[in-house]
Amino acid sequence: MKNPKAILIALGALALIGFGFFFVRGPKPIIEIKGEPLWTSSSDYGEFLTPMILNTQVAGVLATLVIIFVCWRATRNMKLIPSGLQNAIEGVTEFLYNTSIQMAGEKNGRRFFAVAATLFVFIWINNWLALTPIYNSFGKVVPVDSHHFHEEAHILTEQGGISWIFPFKLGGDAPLVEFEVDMHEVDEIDAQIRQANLDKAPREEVLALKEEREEALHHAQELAIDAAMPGAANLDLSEEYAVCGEEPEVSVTVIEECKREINIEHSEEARLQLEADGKQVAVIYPYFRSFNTDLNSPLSLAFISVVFIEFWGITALGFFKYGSKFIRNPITDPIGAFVGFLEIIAEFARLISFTFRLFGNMLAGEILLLVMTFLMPFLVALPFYGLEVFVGAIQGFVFFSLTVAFGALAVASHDHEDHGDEHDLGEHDVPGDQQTAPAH
Amino acid sequence: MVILGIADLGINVPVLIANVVNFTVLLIVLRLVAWGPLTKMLDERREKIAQGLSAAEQAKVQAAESERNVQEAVDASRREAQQLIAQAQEISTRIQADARTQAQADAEATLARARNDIQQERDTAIADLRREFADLAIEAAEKVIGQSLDRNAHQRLITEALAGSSFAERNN
Repeated sequence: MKNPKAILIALGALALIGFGFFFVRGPKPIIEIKGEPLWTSSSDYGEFLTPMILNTQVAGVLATLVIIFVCWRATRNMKLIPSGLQNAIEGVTEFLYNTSIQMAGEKNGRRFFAVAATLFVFIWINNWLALTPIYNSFGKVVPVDSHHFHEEAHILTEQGGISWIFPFKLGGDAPLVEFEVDMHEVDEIDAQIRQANLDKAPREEVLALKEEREEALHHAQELAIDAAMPGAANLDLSEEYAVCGEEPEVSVTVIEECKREINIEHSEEARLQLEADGKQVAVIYPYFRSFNTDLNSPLSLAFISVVFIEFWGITALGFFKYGSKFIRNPITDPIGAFVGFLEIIAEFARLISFTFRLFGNMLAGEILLLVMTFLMPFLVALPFYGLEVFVGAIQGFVFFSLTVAFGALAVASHDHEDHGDEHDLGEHDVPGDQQTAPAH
Repeated sequence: MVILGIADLGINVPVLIANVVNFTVLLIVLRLVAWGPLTKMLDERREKIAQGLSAAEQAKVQAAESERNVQEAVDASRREAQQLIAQAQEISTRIQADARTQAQADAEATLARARNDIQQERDTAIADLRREFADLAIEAAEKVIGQSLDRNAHQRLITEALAGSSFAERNN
């Protein structure tokens, strides 16, 4: 026993991990890739255009308010000799400012700074706020039915006017209901729709098929919900099932149909039992969800970044000179025209890489944390938490530096390309950092 | 179909627009509240620091210069003091030497005077003695010869006689 203190600490940590594992495990996470709508407009223009408010947007607005408040507090009463909050904010600002100037030169660095730094701060604060406990922990309860269908749902218990997920269950997983939809019929109708499209069938016919598909899906989801009602699966239905197969000439399909009906009947009982217990099968749409885990958010940031990059390029070189980077006369300059075409593609690739780098990193981080807190809520999840703190800042900085680097590329003059040096994307004109190669 | 695929990923145009607007508002507000004043402050401070540094540099140069001046003054005064001391020592040795030579000279003078006096006394004594001796001799001779000699011829004879003797040679 060389060091009894260390042994005690190790034992305590193990006990804590064990306690967390057996008693305080989080609910089994339901991974949702899309941001959950907290409000949806009653007028339906389709998935793509219907106005809605996502929980990621709420988080974005929260982050915006936090940033504005902190900056206002820090710069309200500026002193030449900084202290406290002003010191911290100035440290960040100076670091970004110097990096920007180092990468893009004095003049361009100053020009790019405000937009790039705002991008950095917004992404960074959003990512760090997402690590606070208010995120992903409480939200709107959406009961699962055929109108709000989800393949997985929690069983919520109502107590004190609040619906809870109770994970505190000795040795057991937090309850999670899984609905398995029988897509057999829907797939068949899908095939018919494809066939009709190929045959150039009249529009009415296709629409009718689509409606039919919707109905079939609806029905299949209803059946799935009924079949999976918690409690229903535990009933011993062998006697009832035996009734279905009594007559020897009955086909398998009829037996299946019969069994399904029995299931539905019993799941109705189970549902009533649940309601009587004050329970509910539902999913929770958290009020706050990490801003960058919804594809809309990184896409809008990437959009802003790319728009500003093009804007800087146009204002620095002039519209036609900048445009000549992309569009050349293919007859007089076939190689240049091809390179210009590649440049256009690169521009879009940039947008997509911006978007998915951030989205992928943050969604993966969130899922990692959810899974770790589900598996080992205490201590073991901690290193991953630290990792997310790191990744949250790094992703913001990556966005920042790529914006500045691409901006420096865009404002660089491309004159020498006219002398046949097409492979060199103006890197000679970019002072400082070599992070100028387009990332994919 | 492509658009439907994008919608499956959760992309929604109103949400996109709202996000862009939200970011734009943040950008404008931060420009006013943060980036403007902060970069101004950074530039100001940078300038101040540069000024301060140059002032410090200047002060350093000035300090070095004044130190050199002081050192020079100290050196000069030390040199002067040493010179003074040397001078004083020189003077004192000179005075000592003077005094010594004076004393010597005085002593020698006194001695010489004494010797002179002694010489004179002796000369006088010798002269007296010679006169008396001459007178005695003449008296004696008068007595011997019995006759009085011409005094002047007599004196000449005596002087001639004396010149022949070593006694006269030594005293003239």
